[in-house]
Amino acid sequence: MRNSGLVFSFEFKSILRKKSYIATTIILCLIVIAAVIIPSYFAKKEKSSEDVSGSLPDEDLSNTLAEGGYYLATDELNDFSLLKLIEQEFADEDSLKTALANKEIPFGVVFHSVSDFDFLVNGEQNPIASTFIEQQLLNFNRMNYFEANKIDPELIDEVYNVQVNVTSVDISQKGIGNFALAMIYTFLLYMLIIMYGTTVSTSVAREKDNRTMELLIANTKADYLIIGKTLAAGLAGLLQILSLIITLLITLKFSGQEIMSLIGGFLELNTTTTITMILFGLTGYISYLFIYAALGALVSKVEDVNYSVTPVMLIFIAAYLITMLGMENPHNSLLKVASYFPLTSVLAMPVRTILLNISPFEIIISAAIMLVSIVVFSFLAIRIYRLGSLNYGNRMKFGKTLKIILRGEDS
Amino acid sequence: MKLKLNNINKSFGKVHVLHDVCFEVDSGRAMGFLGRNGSGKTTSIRCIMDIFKPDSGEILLDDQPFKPRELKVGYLPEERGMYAKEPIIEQLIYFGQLKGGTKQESKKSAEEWLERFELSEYATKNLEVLSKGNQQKIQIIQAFLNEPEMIILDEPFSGLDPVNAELFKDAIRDAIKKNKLVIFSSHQMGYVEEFCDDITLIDKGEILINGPLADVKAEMSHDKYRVEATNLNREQLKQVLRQIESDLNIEHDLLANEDKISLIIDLSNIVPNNFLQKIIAADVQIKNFSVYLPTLTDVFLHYVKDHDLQTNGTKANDSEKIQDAEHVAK
Repeated sequence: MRNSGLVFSFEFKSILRKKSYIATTIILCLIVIAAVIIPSYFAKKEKSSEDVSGSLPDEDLSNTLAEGGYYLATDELNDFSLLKLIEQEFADEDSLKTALANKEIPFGVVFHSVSDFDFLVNGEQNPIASTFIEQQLLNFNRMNYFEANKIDPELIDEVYNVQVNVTSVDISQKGIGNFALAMIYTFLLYMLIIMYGTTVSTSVAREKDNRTMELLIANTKADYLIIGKTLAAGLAGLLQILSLIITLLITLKFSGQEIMSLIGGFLELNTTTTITMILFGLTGYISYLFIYAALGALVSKVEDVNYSVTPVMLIFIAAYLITMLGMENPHNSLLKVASYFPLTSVLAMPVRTILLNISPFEIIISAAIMLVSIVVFSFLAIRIYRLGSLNYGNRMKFGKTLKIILRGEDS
Repeated sequence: MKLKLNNINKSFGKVHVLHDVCFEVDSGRAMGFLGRNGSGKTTSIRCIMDIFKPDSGEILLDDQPFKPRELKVGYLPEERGMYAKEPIIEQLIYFGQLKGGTKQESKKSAEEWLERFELSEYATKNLEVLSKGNQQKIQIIQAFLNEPEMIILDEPFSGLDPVNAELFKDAIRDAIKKNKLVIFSSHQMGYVEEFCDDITLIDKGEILINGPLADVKAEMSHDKYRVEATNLNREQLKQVLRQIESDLNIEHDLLANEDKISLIIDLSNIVPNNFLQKIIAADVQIKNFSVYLPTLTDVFLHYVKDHDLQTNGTKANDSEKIQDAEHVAK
């Protein structure tokens, strides 16, 4: 196993040194920073413009009211504070109408009583001023009534402002924060497997292409090579994800957002969900990397890797689509079936566990299938890799290779 | 240390590539492994290196099953390859460690060999920046890292210019002096003749000869002499030989072989003086009459042609089949 460690160490350093790895990590981190800062910047700008625009209508309304005129046909409104805002008081209704007809004022108000007024305009409607005056008159009447009957207005205000909250709860499902977590889990794992699966298979094919493979096989066992290479690529992927998470948290902190409130939903995670995510995420990730490494060994040229990995890539994309669509309705039977099939359960089971309250028994069954399958996949991958590693001819067919292994003709 | 291959057989699909291959090599001696393209050299070497598992037979080191990964073996495959985009020193250390050395040992050894091959200035550069010849030297260096007990070199001289070949020859001579077991296959007979105490000749997957080169040459030169005349060309000299055959009632062909300069004659059961008297009597002015010392090329051609005649019709095109089988079918 010492050689597995050596292969791991060499491959890991080699990946970290690659310009493409460094550039991808930097670009992804910049995307994360941009994704946090840009919406936050626009949100702040919107908020400040809302603050400013919140005072504008009042100012506009004050100016509008100031330009108008009124005629008071009753003494009941002498204490009506709104009248102080309207500059011109007319002695009678006719002079008010004349001023309005001559466009000296934009509107006129004739107050007949505390509960009756005319709002006069000359062609140009002014519903804001009209509604405002109506509202103010209503308040004036209410306050007068409360005063006359010695009623505390705050008490009435309290009674009318009692809020009733209604929350619909489906006890089989978990909160909205979990939905976000399911999305993030699915997306990150999808990205990891697609990116690093291809990295592993390309690396294996390149060793065959440039004939380094024979030197490696002469010095160490194929088993150690595939284990070292797969784990190195796996760790490099996890390191990249970790760097994205750290960048996200730092950016959130510096952009002044409440990290705890944003990730609050995640904190509702219970132990079962956490273990399921880690168990299925890691075993599934490593299983796929083993499969990709074996498929890389079936070809002799780097440019043939795509042909070789397409079938497994299609299966994984199907797993991704089933899971993403399943999030809309986690009780979906397709998602349930996918959560037991090893190549799809890597995404489906953790997502079901995040979104639903499913029985631990279901998780244990799926985990058992997953653990058995990782043993089978890694065993087959090692055998395929061993068989393919020195075949420099045409691309080996997967079915034929599998037959050779099952018949034991590869040893 | 003695490496011994006993009745190794290997097939790829329906093509039987190695037929009961047997040979042995001692440490402190270099063995030249010769054969035509597709004769089974690389497959035999890959079996020794445990890259291919033989279908039957055994490979022993001092009468114990040989496990190449448990011994320090320096190996230079025929199909060269190292990481083009990795720093040279890093990958040399890596290969040194894979062979069982510590990091410090491997680094020290790599630096010494880079110095010896005048490549120290490129230690931290990626392999791809080097010329093809220098890349070849790096690949040779990896075979010599960490003082291997056994060195197996498959076509090591291909691609080397005379100056670099000389550096490489010194390295091989040093290894032999240090009592290492050295096997190398080559088409370039001159190099094999220069280093090798022993030779093994393989053709169509069968071992034709295995033993000390001097013995092989002596056996081939037994009763054979080189004859050259000043007054006759080779055709005229052949006519004289035919006349002597009939005069002396010789039952076998006197003419064993010929090259551009002289004829090689077989004087088995004939006293050389009697032959000389006859040829002088035939008015031939002798320019050269000497014991025949075959070159390695002569040895190679002699045995391979013989084997061709023996196997003609039964194993026609086997070399091509073997070559294809090694590279394509499995």
